[in-house]
Amino acid sequence: MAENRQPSLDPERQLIINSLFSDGIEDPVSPTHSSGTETLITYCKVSEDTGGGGNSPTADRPFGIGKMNSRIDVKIRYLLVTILSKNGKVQKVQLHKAKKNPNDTFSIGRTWQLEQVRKVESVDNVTFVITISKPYCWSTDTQGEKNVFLNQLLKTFRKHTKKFPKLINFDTETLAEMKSPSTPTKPVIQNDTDSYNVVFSLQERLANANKSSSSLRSLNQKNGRSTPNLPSGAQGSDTNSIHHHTEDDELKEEELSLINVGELLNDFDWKGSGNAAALEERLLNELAALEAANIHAMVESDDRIHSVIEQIDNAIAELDNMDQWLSLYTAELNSMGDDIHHIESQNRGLQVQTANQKALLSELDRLIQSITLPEQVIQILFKESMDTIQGIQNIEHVAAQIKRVLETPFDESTRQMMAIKEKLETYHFHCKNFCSRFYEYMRMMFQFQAETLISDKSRGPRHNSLTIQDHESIVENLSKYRGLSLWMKEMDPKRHLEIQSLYVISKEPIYKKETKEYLSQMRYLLSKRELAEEATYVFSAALNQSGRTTLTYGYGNWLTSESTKPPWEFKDGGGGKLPPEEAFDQCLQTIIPLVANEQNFILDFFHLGKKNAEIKKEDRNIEDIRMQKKLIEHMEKLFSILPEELSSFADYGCKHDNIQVIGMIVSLEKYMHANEKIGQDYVVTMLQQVRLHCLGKFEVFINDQLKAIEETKVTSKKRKGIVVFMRIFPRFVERIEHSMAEAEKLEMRSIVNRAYERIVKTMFECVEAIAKDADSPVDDKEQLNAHIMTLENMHYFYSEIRSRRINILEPFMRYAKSSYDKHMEAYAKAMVRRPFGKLLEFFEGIESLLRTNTAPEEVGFRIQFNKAALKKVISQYPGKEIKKGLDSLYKRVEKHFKEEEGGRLLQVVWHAIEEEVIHNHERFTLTINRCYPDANITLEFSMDDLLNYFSEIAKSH
Amino acid sequence: MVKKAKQDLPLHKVIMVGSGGVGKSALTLQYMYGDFVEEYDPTKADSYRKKVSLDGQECQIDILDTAGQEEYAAIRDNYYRSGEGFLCVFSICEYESFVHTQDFRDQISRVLDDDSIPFILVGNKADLAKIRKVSEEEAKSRAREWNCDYYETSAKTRTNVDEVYTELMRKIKSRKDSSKERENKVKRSRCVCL
Repeated sequence: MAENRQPSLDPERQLIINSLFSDGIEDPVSPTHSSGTETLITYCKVSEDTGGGGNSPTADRPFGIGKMNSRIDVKIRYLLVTILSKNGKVQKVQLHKAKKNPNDTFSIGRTWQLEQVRKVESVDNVTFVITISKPYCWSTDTQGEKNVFLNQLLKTFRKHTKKFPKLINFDTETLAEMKSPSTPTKPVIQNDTDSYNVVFSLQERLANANKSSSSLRSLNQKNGRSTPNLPSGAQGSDTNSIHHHTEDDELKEEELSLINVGELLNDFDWKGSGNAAALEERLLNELAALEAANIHAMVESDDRIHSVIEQIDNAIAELDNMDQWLSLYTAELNSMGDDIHHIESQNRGLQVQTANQKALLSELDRLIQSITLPEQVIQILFKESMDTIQGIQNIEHVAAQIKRVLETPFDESTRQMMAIKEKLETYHFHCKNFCSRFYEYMRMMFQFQAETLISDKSRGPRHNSLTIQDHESIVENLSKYRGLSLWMKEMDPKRHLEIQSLYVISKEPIYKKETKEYLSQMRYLLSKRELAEEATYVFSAALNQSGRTTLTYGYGNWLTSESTKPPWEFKDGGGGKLPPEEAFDQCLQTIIPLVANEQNFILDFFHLGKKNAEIKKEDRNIEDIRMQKKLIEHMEKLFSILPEELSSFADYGCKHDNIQVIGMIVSLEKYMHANEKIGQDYVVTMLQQVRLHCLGKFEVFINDQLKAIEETKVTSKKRKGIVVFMRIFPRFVERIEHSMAEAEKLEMRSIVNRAYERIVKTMFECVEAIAKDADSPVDDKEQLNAHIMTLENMHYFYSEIRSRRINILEPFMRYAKSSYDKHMEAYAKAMVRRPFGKLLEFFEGIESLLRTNTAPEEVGFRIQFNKAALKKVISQYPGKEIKKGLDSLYKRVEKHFKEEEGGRLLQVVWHAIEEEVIHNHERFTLTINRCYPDANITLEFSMDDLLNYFSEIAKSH
Repeated sequence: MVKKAKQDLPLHKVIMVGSGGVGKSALTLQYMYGDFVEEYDPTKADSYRKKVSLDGQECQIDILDTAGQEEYAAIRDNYYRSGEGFLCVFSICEYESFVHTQDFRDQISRVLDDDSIPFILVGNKADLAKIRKVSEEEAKSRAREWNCDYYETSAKTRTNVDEVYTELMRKIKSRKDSSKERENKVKRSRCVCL
């Protein structure tokens, strides 16, 4: 049907054929010549969606969107279905996609084999998708066109391909038709060939007619625009019948119409399919397509189109014109906008400038205001009374104002401003003047205070309460100027220093006077002791005295009721009198707070650093150190006489009792320790000075003691009994320990310990030296005396010191003990010589012989040791003789020891002698048994005899 | 001697007796110095003297600490002669030392020829009561037999240490005081004799 229509009526088809398939024979009816000809079966103008539609299947693309998009990026293409045949035999069926060029020619874009088509999908009235290698979505202009094309396409499939594409969304009729292409094939083949032949012949004729009609048509077209003489119905209506009517003769027309009808019916396969409804449908579709084509042709041919187009063009031109005007106005407005913007910004700049200037003005005003003080201020500075607290507060207030002004941190350029410069200079001037005024005032103030204090009769030491009254009144009166003092320190440091000096100068005499008075009053309070008393515990005193009286003191002399008092007690104890060391401590207790308070006041009033050394020494900066130095300087000036006065007080206190110095040093160290902690540097320095003085005295004192001890050695004639310094030492230690009660942690402890050591060493040396007494001949008696004296002295030292439990003396105590043991043994041995003299000599001879490797048996062969000699010796010592000897021995021992210590050692010594005698008896017996085993000789007194003698002696005394 | 006593404070002579190692020296040192010496060092003989206050009166105590380990008992006679009062010490942990107290008692009686001499029986080492070997009853019955006091002491803990010495001094003092009157009567004749 389309085949029939197209060759004759469609100019586009002709154009396609001309441009693409003209090289081959157009006439499909003559298959004899040409090697391979391509014949256009049908074509379709489609719009191809290029917006990425190629890849996505239809399901991905909603049609609404697809359509809208297609308005934007659609390409107009032509789908061409052709048959390539050779020698009248169909070779292949192809599907081309072609593009229409502007010069009305076509060019093929792509070519597929029809067998490649896998799927055909009808989407809607105008759109369909053919899937070849990928889905292609195409839309026709009208539903008719689509239907025609698709029908044609499917037909071609059925005709020429074995493979059939998948059909989607086709009506059942079509599908049924498609599905059963081959069932009727066999019977129809015959028919087909018949009809085919018929068709061929018909087509041949039709082609001829077409040829003529196309030439006619092209002629028509040439004149068509200017003179459309053809009736619009002839051109517009595509019905074949009409066409053929106008072009061919009646006969041909009749014949043709028959052929056409047959063909048409054949096309519709009306024989093949008995479905009348489908056929009707298809016919209706066909009809609609024809009508659409008709209308299209009508519209195309309407002249008014041109005028409409012209009008539209005019309208567009007008619009362009208007557009130009509008853009002109826009440009104008823009430039005006710029101007306005510029003006606005200028305006803002002006506003800022004005504000700045206003601010500057007020700033300057403020500046001047800030450094301008009312005249009243100056008046207050010069006129206000400094006597009242209110006045001082006023002055402080304005002074602070001036200070603030003067210290305003101007930068250099501001400072250079004339107005400011002048102002500042004026204030500086006023300040200086005020400083002078304040200086003068303080000078008078200090003087006045000092004089008031000195002339105050209620002050000064009194007997009932001996003390120095504090200077609270001065502190009170002055402290109200503290603020001004700080002001001055910062404003005029030099003047401030001068004020400090003034203060020191005016106060120094007060301290001088008061401390002197106080210390001299204290002297009256010192209790005095009798020199004799001191002698019980001080070597030098005792030994000096001993020159006048007896050298050694009998035991009784030492334990008189008086001297059994502790050595630190005073005869006139009580009655308000004080021992010097306590008085000294009291002095320190009185004076140190005074000094400390003064330091605190100066520190506070003159603002010389922080109180109580809040800063650690290593943390101080130079300024702190400088102020600290200044402070010490002032203190030294204020209390210049103090170290000296205290030292001389100490001297006075020790005049009669040197040992007092120890207690004084302990006091000094104690206060130094306490004040060091609270930053009273001056107190510490001052006390240290006094301490050094006292240590000097202590050293002299100890040296005196040593000298006295050593002198005893020279003066001692009677080398007997306990040496006086041995007796003194325990009391000496006791006395010193009394003063050392609080000194366990002080330096004095080790100083005293060293002194003890020196004294004890000297004493021991002296005891031994006296005992030996090198210049007298060493006879038995002297030797005995030496033993007696040493053992007595050592025993005394040992027992006395042990009872006092002084750790530092432990080693000396042990030395004394061993020395005592040694001399005891030596004494016992020496004493026993008298009653046993010859016996001892004899046996000692034998013993020394035995020591020279002589065998015991050989002893008897020596002349001096033979039996006769033995007998002789033994016979000289009968029991009676021994008894007598022991009696006199006891008497001698008693004589030696009964005097000292109430004879306390007598029993001990006698016991040692008894043991020695017994030991000798054992020794002699042993030697006799060894050397004269068979001589049957024994001593003439037995052990029992000896023990009896001892018992008798014990009973008789 | 009589002359000297006049000048002195009253002097009371106490003698420590007892076997070796019972703690005579330990008691003495504790009383004298407040020391307690743990280690044992046999004593030869030593004399101690100390000023004390006895019932408010100042006096001196002289302690003769004797050797407990004496080979020959006889040489102790000498000590006993000078004694005015005796502390006879044994260790409550050592029965033998208790037995020996009898020997000391006998010897003292023999030397002094006086049964009424101030004498106290002292059971030392009371701190070791756990290993006691001598019962308190037995010791007390012996003290009754001797007509003397019995104390249990500890030199280590200072238990009863001051008490025994003080009590002994009291006895010595009262004995002296009672004999004074007799002495006063005899005095004149003695002076003439001298």
